Amino acid sequence: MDYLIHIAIICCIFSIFAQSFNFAFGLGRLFNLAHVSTYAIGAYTAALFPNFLSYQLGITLGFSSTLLSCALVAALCAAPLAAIATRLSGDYFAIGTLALTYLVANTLTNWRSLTNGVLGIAGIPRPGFFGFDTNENINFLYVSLLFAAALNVGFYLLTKGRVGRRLRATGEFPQGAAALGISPSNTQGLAFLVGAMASGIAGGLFALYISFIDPSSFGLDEMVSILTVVVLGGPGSVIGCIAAAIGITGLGEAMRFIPFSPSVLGPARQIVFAIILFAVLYKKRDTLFPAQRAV
Amino acid sequence: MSTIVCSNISVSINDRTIVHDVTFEIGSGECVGLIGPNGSGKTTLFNALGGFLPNVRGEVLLGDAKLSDLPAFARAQAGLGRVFQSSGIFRDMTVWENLEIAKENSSRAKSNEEIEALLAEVGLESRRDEKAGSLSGGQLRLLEIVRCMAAGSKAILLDEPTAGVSPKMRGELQAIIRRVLASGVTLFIIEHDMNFIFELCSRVMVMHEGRLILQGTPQEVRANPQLAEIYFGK
Repeated sequence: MDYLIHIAIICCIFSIFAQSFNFAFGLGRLFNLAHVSTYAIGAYTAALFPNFLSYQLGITLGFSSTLLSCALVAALCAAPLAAIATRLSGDYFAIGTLALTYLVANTLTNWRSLTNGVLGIAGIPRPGFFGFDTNENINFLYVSLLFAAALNVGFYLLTKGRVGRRLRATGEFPQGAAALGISPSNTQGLAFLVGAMASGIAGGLFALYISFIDPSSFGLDEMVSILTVVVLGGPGSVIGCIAAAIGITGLGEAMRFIPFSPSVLGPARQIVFAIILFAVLYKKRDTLFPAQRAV
Repeated sequence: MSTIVCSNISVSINDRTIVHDVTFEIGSGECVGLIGPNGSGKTTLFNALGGFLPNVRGEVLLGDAKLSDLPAFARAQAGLGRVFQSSGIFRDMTVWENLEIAKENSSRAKSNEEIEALLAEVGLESRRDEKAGSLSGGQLRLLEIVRCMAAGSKAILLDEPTAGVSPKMRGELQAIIRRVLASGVTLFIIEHDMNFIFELCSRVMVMHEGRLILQGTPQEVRANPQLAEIYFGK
């Protein structure tokens, strides 16, 4: 039972993380390789910020306010990145955000006085949620479900509404969107920030649940996983993304039962995800994204 | 009163000047055609007017509003519409979503009833919930013109509206363009189909090698021997 609860919690966290990437990438074609960085910033905020407030100011943060601080810090760090990155387009944007990923990863590894470097941060406490003891995994699952549901519904409403339409238009034909009075850079910047906030929350939930984080948890492997989820679920599809997040998490967990040694299993899982990603991309190569147009 | 005033527009791309010092005015509600051989700079001029190019010199006015310093989206908000050569319709959205997005981003947008009436006029009311990507080339053109009207554009830059459109559909296209003109919107049209443009426009400009070299009524331009020289050589 504990194992099933664990899988369900991971599904919740993974669905938020993948959905936050799906919003900017699936709708707006923003191939933001720095997305894992805001996930990491959220996780480190959950590990460090409540302690800082508690020791320095005597303020205790609850579960929601911890996650809110994760979202805000992730957005704060993402804002200058968004301003720089949205001046780039297409391949240049992807390359620029890849550089930002390395910037954040190196900061996490080398700013030892803050992050404890490669040794990571252990014993991250779980705050209570309105009197609910989240140290019990079943309670943590209920809270995770609540956040996952709220954020996924939020993304669904954003996708179907005005913001989603603007983002889809900008993703399909930025000049065409501009010709209708839509600012492509403002729209993409907003998507970048919304995605950063949600991935910050996912990172915060991850840190509170696992209670240990180190820089190796936030590498490009995570990007491959969420890219697989988004492509498998159909870029821009909120429901597809949730289903694919559950499917990919389930597949990863099911592979644990294959009698391989752990040293083989980890890389094998990434290889399977990469093969799925390649196969789906190949099968949908003409229909996954509308063709780019020029003015 | 002039709707579009362009003064000394020059465009350089990679140190090469594509449009040289182009100056013209288009009156309110006027329909002006722009013709010229391929590579003469017509679409580049449209892109410069729309704000889609860097390194543009000169001044562009739409009514009293100075557009030259504004980005493309702000020019659209000021009332400058655009129909793209390669179609600006979002194929992944439904027909109605394409109109809705135009409405949402304009302060001069038409009401839902008016937009539905326009959609019925071009025979697309039964397709409103279908993906726009399923429309034919001609229907995409009609929808794009209707979208500019839905947004309440004061002036529309139409880039080759008949490109890839069947002869039957050209009549419908001409009808909706006349409908746009009747509503008082100013039109500036690039077109290779001379008959189409000479029938529609009250004035025609001719571009060659990045310069405006001729302008006048369709009859004057057609009768000018320079026109044949540009297209067929001496």
